[in-house]
Amino acid sequence: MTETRNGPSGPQDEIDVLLRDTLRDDLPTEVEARLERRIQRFVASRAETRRRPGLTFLGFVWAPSQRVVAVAASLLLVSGFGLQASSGPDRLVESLSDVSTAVTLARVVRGATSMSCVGLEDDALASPAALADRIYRRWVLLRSRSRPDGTVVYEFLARNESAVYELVSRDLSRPPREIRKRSLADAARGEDARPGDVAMCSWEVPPAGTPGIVFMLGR
Amino acid sequence: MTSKAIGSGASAALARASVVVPWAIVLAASAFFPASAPVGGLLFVVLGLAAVTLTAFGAHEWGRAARTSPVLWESTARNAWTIGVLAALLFFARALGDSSRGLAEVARSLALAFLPALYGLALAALCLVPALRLRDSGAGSHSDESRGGADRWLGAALFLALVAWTLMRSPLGDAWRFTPWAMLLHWPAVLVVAGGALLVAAIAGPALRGRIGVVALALSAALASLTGLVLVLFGFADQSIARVVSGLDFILTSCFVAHVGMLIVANPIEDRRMRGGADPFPGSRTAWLLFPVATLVFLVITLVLAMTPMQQKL
Repeated sequence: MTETRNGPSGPQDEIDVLLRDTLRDDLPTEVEARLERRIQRFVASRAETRRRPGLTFLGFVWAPSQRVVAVAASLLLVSGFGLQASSGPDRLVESLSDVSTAVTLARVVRGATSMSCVGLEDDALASPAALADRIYRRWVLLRSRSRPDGTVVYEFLARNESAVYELVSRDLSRPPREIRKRSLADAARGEDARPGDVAMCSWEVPPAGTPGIVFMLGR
Repeated sequence: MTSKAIGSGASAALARASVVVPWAIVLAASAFFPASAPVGGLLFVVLGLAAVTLTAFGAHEWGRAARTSPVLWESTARNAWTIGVLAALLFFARALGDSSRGLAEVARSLALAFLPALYGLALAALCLVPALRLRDSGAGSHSDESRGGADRWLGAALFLALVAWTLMRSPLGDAWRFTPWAMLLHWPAVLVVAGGALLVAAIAGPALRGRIGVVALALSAALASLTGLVLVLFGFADQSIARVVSGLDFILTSCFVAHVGMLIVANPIEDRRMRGGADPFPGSRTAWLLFPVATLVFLVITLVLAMTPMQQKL
């Protein structure tokens, strides 16, 4: 009986042959690779989960320390927000404030209809556009200081002319009424501008309500 | 067995030297070029990419991985995009600090600072093609354990050196009005990003530990950046330039810290998992794509705010 079942022509072999014929190992390589990839991913994820409980000692240490980490993280967050309220790097504030001031001055000057200056002959004072161009492209704002009469002096370095220009204005919404020019050497020595190097300027500004784009382009 | 180990160790060291020596030569040569965004940004992206790739793929594995591993190309594409945006951030801070030049020059430098992001995006697109091709052909289906232990640390060190070098190089103008690192290492923002990321990781628990790094950094940096934005708006409302600057600082620092953290800590962990055959954490791909975009948006906002005249309290 056993011999018959295991014999070369037994029914079991017939079933094997039938199964081999029906379920042939002829999967396309692409499908096989995809299945393989899935199996790899499954095995990797299982390995990860298996590894974790294996670290029982570390897990024991980590579990309470996780609370410590959470508390420490919260402290970091709170101290970060707390410090934020009190701090602000001064040089950064000064620098961005200078950028903002120079942009404002250039816009106000460019927005004027015309200007007329007496006392100093200089290309920069030929027109509002020329002065605005100098402020925006060539000059660098060094510092600004308030004077006792309520005016503010904006000191610009004109590197290509080796000179310092001082623009005196009542506030940033108006163009400068006085412009002084000093050589770099004089400025370094702290000497005041000479009489021929001071211009008193009068400005024509557009009436209130002028469209913004016209104001920006300076007509 | 021992001679085989010595042989493979020697070949790994040789491969490492063949990456590090040219890398150092190019970095040294970059000292002869002006630290402007068009040239300096390109060098930063290329050198940064080489350094960061070392953190997940040992130098001796590059040749084989380039032919067979879609993970290498995918992570290179992602890193190129992130490094490009980080370079934009660095050159932006340099341009702001270098305001000893005329306003027009400063504005031009600020605009040019966005160029490295473009380089990074172009490089990312180039690297995505082989990644897709290899995925499609079913290559790299086998899990592939990382064997670049020393290279991991070397890559991180090289990348940090590159960032420090880019920050500390002399300005294009006379002198710094303020140093870029004063703006990019604003300690309150560093604390908020670190605390936020740690808190997310702690809440996520041991099951997600290590995998959630990218998402945790992106979330905490987004939180810090939005806080900075609120501060800036308050500053405008109160006409307080100090508060505006403080908010801008908060935004730039949080984006900077999160990018560096992702590149040298969180991304390599994900890459090593992906090499083992696992999928990345569900939110990681979104964070990789969107966080740099958000950073660029914040940079544009900063540019506009920095160049917008503000009525100041006298």
